[in-house]
Amino acid sequence: MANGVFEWEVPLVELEKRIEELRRFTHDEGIDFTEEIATLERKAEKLRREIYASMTPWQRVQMVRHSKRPTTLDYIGLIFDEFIELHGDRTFRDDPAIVGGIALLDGRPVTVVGPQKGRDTKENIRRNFGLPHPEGYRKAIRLMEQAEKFGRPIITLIDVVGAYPGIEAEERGQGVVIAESIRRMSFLRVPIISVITGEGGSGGALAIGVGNRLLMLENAWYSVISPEMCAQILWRDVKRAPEAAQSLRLTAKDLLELGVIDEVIPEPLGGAHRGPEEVAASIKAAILRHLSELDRLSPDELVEDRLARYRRIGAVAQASQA
Amino acid sequence: MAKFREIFRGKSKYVTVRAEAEAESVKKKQQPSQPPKEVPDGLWTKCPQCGEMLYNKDLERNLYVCSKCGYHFRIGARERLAQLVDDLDTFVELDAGLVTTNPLDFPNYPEKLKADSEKTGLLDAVITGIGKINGIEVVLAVMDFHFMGGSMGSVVGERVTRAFERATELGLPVVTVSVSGGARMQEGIISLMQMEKTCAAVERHSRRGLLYISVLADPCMAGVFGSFASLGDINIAEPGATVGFAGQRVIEETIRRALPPALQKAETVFANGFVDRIVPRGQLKETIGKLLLWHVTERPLTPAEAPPGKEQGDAASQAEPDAAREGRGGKAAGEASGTAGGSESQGHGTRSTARQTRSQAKREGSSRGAAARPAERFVTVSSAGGTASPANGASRNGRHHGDTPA
Repeated sequence: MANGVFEWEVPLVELEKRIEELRRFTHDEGIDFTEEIATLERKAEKLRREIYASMTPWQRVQMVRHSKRPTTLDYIGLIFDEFIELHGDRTFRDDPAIVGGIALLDGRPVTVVGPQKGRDTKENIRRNFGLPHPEGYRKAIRLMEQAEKFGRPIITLIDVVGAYPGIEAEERGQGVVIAESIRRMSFLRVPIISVITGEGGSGGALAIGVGNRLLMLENAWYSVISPEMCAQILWRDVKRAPEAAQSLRLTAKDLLELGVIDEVIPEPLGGAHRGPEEVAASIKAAILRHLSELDRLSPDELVEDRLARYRRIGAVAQASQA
Repeated sequence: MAKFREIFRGKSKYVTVRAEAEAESVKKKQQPSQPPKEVPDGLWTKCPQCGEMLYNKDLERNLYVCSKCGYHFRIGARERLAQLVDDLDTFVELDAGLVTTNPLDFPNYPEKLKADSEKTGLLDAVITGIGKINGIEVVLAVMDFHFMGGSMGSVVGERVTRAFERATELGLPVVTVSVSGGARMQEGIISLMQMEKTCAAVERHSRRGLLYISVLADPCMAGVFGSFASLGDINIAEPGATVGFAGQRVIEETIRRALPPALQKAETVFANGFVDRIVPRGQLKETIGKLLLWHVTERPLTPAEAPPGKEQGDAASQAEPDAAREGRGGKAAGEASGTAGGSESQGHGTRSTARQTRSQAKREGSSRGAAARPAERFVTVSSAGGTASPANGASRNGRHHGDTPA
């Protein structure tokens, strides 16, 4: 990728540049290129559809890592009327890799939690590239239990490569905290809607992703392991990540077919960074729609609904001779 | 190895070591447990930690713990069950026939399953069932690292979940022995979802006021450590076990330096506060048995209460015909504790509690006759809708066990 353009997008981007030039020429020089522009526009549209409709899983994985892709805080700003961020796990420290707080969704208070990647190098360092430590997950649990206390719905926006694999994270019990988060989230007596907006990296995503509804942006991925790590472990060759991405069936479309998610939220051609407002509006509409359904359930029913949703996931059969 | 054999060549004496052949034959009637992968066929095994040459029979008798340095060999699920339950013949396996359907059509997965199935004699990486530990009925889930690294896919997730559900219905405690590299890659997102399933099942069981003891053996990592294995009321780790979330290589690639060697050792994880005890294999059954007893009794138990005196092995041989195994276990316990440090020694309570366990079992009518029909019993109870708890569990520990509000 160069200048935010993936190699498979290059022909399209060059065409778009030419159209832009002709427009400027028409405007500045007063020469009429309307017809040429229209022809090129049609060509560009065709190319756009070809390129983005046939994206491989690995291309999608790369696309959601685009530096311009909207982050959790970007979406929070676009989806909610207002947001008050709350900090700290009350035990160790505030983990900047997870943000959370209370927001207004069309005037209704909800709790929002999600990992936060940096939008530039400096912020990425501060936020540890959005890779949470145990205290980040503890903060998430704290805020979600706070939501339960006050009967607020919980929205989690997930974009995380994984829980941070580091010495301090291990020392502070990354595995135990993730197990604890999954367990507690499963039994919360308020509606929970989780949206995978970018990367859904394994236990680090699941720990804040146990929802009554699980929605996914069109290009997002969600898997037990990243394609690179899978390729490394299975074939000791990280260059085979594209193959692993294919085999893992980690795209939104795959997960819908596998019955793991409830809905795919469309992105503009070329990815969410080409239209953050449009994507945010789609996410908001989907959240509101699912929330209105969940609002009809009692707290007990919400827990049962959530547990039943996960209980049925599994691919088992009786062995023929056993 | 060859050199070592040389020393003994011609010495007929070492062939005649089988003085305990009688005791051995008792065990042979049961399902023969497979030796750990680390233990090669043949007579001798070299301890990977201290290099000591160990006679295989001694090693087995010592529960696959090196008698010199205390190194705990990796053992299969069947061997582990044989070490933990009172009588393998009355162990009733649950959901034995479940197999995965390869939900992602992951390349080469069926071949791998087939190969590991042939290698281990298992259909997947966990055995679940109902058995007795020191006379107390318990649901067990025991993992096997030799089947695809003990990884958790649909079958492990479903079996473990059902094990907890069965225990919840029956009002029984659960003991899991987790030996796993984590969630199984070949089932992708479906494997990940098993983490939620198992955690939820643990919590439902817990909300009935029932005990869950989680044993973490080498290794216990990633998606299994990050789900049900961490959630025991009591977490016990085996000495030297690797326990953690992220794999060593992933951490090293991320932080770009070598890992402190002890970071994910059970002893460090214990010091950091994530497991309750490190228990050597020789003391594992005794420790679990005691904890189980303390959770099923309705009356005060004190060491002074039971008559003092007899050795545990003697008591065992009076109470049960197949006591040879327990006798050996007791001996191994002594040996292992000698190497693993006195901090975990059980002190004076050991013998009296063993007695109490047995008398308790007798009081509850858990004779061998009754124990021989656990399947029948379990069918009866589960059809009662999961509210009754006639066994050693919920109804007996003096608390209310309706569906606790969340």
